[in-house]
Amino acid sequence: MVKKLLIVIFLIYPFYVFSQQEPDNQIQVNFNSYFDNFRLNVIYPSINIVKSIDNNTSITGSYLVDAISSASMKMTFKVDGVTSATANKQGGGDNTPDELRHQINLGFVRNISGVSVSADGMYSIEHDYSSKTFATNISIPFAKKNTVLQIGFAGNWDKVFPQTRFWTRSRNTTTYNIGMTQILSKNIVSQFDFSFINIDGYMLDGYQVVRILNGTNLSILEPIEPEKRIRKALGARMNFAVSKHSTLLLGYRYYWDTWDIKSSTIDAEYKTHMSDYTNISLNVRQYFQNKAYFFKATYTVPEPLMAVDSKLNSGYTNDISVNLEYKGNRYTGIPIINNDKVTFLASLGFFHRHTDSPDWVMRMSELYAYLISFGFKFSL
Amino acid sequence: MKYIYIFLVLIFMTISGCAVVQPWERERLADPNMMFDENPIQKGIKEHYINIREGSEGGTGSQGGGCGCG
Amino acid sequence: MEIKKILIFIFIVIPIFAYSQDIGKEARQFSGKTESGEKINLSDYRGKVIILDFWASWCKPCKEEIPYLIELYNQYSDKGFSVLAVNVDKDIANLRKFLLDINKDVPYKIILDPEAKIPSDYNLDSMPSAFVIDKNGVVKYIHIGFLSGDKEKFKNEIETLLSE
Repeated sequence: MVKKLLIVIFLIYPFYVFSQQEPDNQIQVNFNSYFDNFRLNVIYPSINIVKSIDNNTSITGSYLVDAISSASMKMTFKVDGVTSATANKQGGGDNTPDELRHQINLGFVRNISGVSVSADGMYSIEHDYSSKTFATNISIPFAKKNTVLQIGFAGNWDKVFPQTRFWTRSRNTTTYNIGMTQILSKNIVSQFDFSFINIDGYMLDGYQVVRILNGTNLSILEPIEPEKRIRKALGARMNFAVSKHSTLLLGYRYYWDTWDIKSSTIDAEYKTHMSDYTNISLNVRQYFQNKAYFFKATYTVPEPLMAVDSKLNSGYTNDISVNLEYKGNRYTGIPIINNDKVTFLASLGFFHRHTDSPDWVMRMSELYAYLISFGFKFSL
Repeated sequence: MKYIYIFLVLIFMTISGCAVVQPWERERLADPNMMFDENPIQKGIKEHYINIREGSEGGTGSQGGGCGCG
Repeated sequence: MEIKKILIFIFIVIPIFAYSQDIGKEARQFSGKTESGEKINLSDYRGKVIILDFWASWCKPCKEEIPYLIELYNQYSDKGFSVLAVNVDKDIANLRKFLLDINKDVPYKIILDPEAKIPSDYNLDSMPSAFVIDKNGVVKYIHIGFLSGDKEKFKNEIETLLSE
């Protein structure tokens, strides 16, 4: 009897919104991992390729696997009367991944007289969730490329079919994005970005339950959330060249949606070239959010709308990460590293989230997560 | 709609020619560290975990900046 | 409807006004000095098909472009073709390091213009920028930036102008 903590809707949206520079032909391989004190472990290796196919066109492709472990579920769902959990076909042991998700992206980017156009299709599948995405972007330069306007659109069609249910529900998302990158001086560049996201359909993950304790009577019900959500976000970033070798990026994002969630994110990143071959960056991020209007820490009677998802709770997060990039060079005698075509990447992150009431499963308010990622980029 | 108008106004304010940095003056801007999301793949990896733990999405920008070379 | 109008404006009208070049006009005359102090005038190249190339060591596509221009020079220089480069690096050490990195001898002349007077006169749109000039000193083609597709275009343009 194993069930999942959450459907990890981990889709990586198409990356390739290129600026005016032609993308480099490259293969990038990353081994990424996420571990938290809620006993969610995810290993997600990915491979990405960019290859030019004609004079002005490059194709882009990526493949990603999520190996997700949610080892706590046996214990948690012993009394789950509503969902009547069934055995997971893919694993289920406490120390083995409970599920695998595969994601494939394929797209192109084309330069037409300085205007860059890209399109990308994505397909993601796991045993209880599938997703298709089509995304397109256009990037138009003005005023000697001092200003670049970026416009994006993405359509996303998801199917949710939890193992423990007999139904399949769908969710459709439309995303519009408009952004502008503006050079302000020889040392400062800024970017403004507005996203509009419209979601229709089933937005739960199919596994969460609401426990209602009335005296000594415990009833377990499915959460109910609205079937429409409009999400908007406005972001601004500025990147300053603070010295010959160092830069400082400051960012702010304001988010609001029709579920009454409002959030603010502040972001700072310091990057410096330690040498011609070594680049290091330190990123600090803080995020504050209030709760969705229908979210409650506890429910005593059934209500028309009920949610237990911690993402809809109020709280804040602190996020810090260090990234290291080392470019291979022919002047080193060390094998592999003496190849100028290879860049090595490593990153270490720590993420702390506080919610104003305990999580529905783990009964904890503080989530601590560690992220370790390493990889390499090979120029073709 | 009003947000689109705000953006259009911002765009035309900049196109109208204020603060033009010439292409040959962009030595510092050419530093890869001056680019937003210079490695968009790494950004995707990061957003991968943030999106399952936070209730917000979007507004994080896209690759851009640099010297506008090429 | 309104969204449609805005999209038409963004995708069609703006790009039309975004570009304008002066192809077909005589290249503006200038003179400058190389690192060794040799004085070069653009008019010295009259009678030859030339690529006038503006570049800097910090410009990423230049790392692709310069070796290719060297290749073109080696291939066509005995047929009446040449390259004249204008470098805008403020610090000559960066230029030297760049040339060391590409590990090739540059067979054509490089004018040093740290004050960027020549590119300013040419009102460049991007780095690098290459002007293909015919035997009469008229700008025939302009390359803004350097994309992989430019290699084939350069070749075709040189061959066309050499045969005129």
